[in-house]
Amino acid sequence: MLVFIINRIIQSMIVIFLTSIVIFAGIFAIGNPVDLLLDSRATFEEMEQIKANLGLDKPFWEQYYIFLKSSVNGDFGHSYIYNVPAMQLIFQRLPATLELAFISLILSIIIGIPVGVVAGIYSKNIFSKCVMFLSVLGFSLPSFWVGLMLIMVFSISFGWLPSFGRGETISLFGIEWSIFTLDGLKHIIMPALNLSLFGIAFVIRLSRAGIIEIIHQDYIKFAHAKGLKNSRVMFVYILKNIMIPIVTVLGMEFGLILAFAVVTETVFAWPGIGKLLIDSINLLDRPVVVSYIMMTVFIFLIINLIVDLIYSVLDPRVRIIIND
Amino acid sequence: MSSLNPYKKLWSEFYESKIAFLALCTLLVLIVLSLLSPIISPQDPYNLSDINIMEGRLPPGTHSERGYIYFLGTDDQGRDMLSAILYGLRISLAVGVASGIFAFIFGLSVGLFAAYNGGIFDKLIMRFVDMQLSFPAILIALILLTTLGRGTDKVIIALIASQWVYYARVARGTALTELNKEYIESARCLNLSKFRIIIIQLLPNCLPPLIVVMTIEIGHAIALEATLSFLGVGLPITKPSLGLLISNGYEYMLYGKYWISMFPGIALLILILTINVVGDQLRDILNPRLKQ
Amino acid sequence: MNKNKTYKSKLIDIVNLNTYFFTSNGIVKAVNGMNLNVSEGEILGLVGESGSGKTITGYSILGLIDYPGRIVSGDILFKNQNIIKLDNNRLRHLRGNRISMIFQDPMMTLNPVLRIDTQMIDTVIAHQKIKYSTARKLALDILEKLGVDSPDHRLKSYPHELSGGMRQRVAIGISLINKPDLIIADEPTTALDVTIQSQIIYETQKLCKEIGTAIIWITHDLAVVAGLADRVCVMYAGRDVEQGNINAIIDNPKHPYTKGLISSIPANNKRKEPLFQINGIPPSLKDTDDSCSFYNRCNKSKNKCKTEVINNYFVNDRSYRCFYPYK
Repeated sequence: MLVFIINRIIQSMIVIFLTSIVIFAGIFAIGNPVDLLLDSRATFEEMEQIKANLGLDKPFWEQYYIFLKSSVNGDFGHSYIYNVPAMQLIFQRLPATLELAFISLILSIIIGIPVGVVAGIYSKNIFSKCVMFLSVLGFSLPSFWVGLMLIMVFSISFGWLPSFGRGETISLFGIEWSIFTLDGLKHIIMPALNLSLFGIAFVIRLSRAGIIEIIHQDYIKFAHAKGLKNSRVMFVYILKNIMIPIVTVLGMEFGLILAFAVVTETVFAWPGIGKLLIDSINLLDRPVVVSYIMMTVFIFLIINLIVDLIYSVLDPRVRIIIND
Repeated sequence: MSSLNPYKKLWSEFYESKIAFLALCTLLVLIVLSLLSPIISPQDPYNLSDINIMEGRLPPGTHSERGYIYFLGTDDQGRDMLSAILYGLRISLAVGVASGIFAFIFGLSVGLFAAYNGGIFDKLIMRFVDMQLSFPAILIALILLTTLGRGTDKVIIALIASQWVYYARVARGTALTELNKEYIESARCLNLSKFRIIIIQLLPNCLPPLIVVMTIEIGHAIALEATLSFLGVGLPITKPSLGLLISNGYEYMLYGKYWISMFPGIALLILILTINVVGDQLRDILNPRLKQ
Repeated sequence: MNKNKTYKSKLIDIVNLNTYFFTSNGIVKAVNGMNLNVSEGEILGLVGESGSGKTITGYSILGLIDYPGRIVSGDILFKNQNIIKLDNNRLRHLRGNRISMIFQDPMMTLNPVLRIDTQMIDTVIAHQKIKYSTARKLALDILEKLGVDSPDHRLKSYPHELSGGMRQRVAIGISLINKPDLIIADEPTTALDVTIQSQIIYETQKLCKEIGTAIIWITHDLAVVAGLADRVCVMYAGRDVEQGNINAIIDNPKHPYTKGLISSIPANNKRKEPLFQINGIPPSLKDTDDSCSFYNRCNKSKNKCKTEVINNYFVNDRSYRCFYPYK
């Protein structure tokens, strides 16, 4: 098992390394970021001066080497706009995004699994057909538009919920959490629902399909033939089998949630890294974009590793493959 | 089964789902409307002489001074929402379909190439494809747009680049299965040229699952483009897709002028929904067929 | 008077069972007027081709028929109680406890993500208030009796870590762990190697005799039943066509189908002679009525067979369903 983890860490490091080359080449080498920072009346000398300050006059490989050296120390350059280390900006905003992402993930689990399971058990029902249609709706609705509609209904028409920002936070273990305050909850519920919609649709479909497949298996019939209570068959015999594909999807879903957070944070003005990314793209603040990408790649790799580990705990057949 | 035309059979199976049929009809209506938009819209919303800024932000149903009714209201510049939506539909569809077709061609080629040649090509290509597949398309598009900058062509390139992998993976998978079948072996024995084998024998048999992918991916492309335009990094304002229209109306919602965002949103929703429903039904029909 | 086994009350008595499947293509009469009875401690072989309704009969006894199937009519008397009308809760107390079932494919019978001991102990705990450690000891004992080596290690394993024969032994162990009165074994050795088959048959028979469990041994292979069973019930197209003592039936079959089955056993052939086959194929179970379903394959059939309703005839301890039986 330890060998497996070390193997994965090495693989991940290679991925990060390769990604960093691609990103660096793509973002820094193409185009001239200096143009934005100066107005058009700047003289040639001033432009050269700024270039030298930012280290942009050196050849590509030297620039990359400097980038690599400082990034190992966690320094991905300074934001052109805010003039603080770019990674620091990311870290400041990361908790807000992670909080939103986790709540969305949890929502998709606690709504998606029960509804999907029921739809699977009573699969000929009208309930099941409705649920399937609604799930297609879940993927098709453009999430930014849903966000706007949510704001229109709950903030503007009814005035129940605030339309932007993050609520009051409480500091726990050095991190700011907003879900422990009422104000924070009021602020997070709409963006979290918005972000979790496609996830709910995914999980419903997957749970339903999983149940339909599993419920007709011989081992479930045998479990009934043993005289086990329905609840035991459901919660142990069926559920453990269904969790396997669901966990894999959840990993992928978390990645998608992080990506779509970019949109939700923009609509709801949620102060996370997603909004930071869009602003940075618009303002051509490249170090921040690079930091965002590196952070995202890192998070994705960790998610994949965790999903694989959970998967091996749930499915004993996989453990043999890992331990070889 | 040989007595029935395969297309007829496909159609009758498709028709079994009334909802899918309804979706298909709606989709065709939308496509026709968008193609005819210059003809049927009451005004040309991008012709400055046609619009009147004094008639901006009017609610749906208001009468215009020029004699037609603003069925869906006007935006802040005085543009008729109905016309703007029809034009926007056209652009959204055009961008979605164009990027879909090119992504299809590129992905199909790479997939077939990898499957046919096998070995190290296959391994390397699929490694790359798998890596890209583990990243959400929206992030890839955003990053590409950072480097490429603005412009319609850049948006289409970003869309193609984020989507081709889906086609490539399915194409390779199907091709691998087909390559094991006897008709390929007999073609090789007859010493037909590589070109003939791949294009004439292999390709047509790989198409059914790819058509399903294409339908669904075009839906994704349209949604992605709308999202990018909404975020301000998508199509330029000279080519206002539905996403941009929604973005424009964002601020006016706070003042209760919901129609500027809501109606383009509904149009977008119906477009994507119908594409997804049709794609879903196609997948249900074509997949069990493959298992035979 | 002590040879009156027929007056011993039956452990289970199935009378005129009808289980139909209501599909979009029509009604499939999987079990169509089935009669079967087993005495305490007795081994009954239930013989028939694929699709004759043997497995569905087994499921019907336990009430495990899923949509779109349903038991339509009939009586199943278990220890003089009609269990067909029982609600699911009461049936559950019988399942795995007084009546057990072994399925055919051991690969699919055990839950792949649960340990063997969990699956075995579950069966015990579902029916008795008992400590975990005591239940585990029971599981260990029964695996030993079934000839499983290093049973303690096996208990901690997962199904995919065991061989087919081992898995089937576990399944048999699960069925017998609560010392049931009746066990329905649905082709338990069909999916296994021939060498393992006889071992398993032997071990199961031994254990059942020890506990006093009756067996309904479902198979398509009359040869297996010949060495194992006390009585046999031959099933065709959803109902019993002949039933009675095994030796009597094999020496002197009355129904043409039974005679055909016996003749088809390769061992009965002279060398170099072509193997005997019964002509034709089994009928579809959709449009059956109550006349003889073997009509179109029988070389003795007459018009009456096609048109009239055929019920069982009883002679001594046997029954058969034929207008023109062999003498």
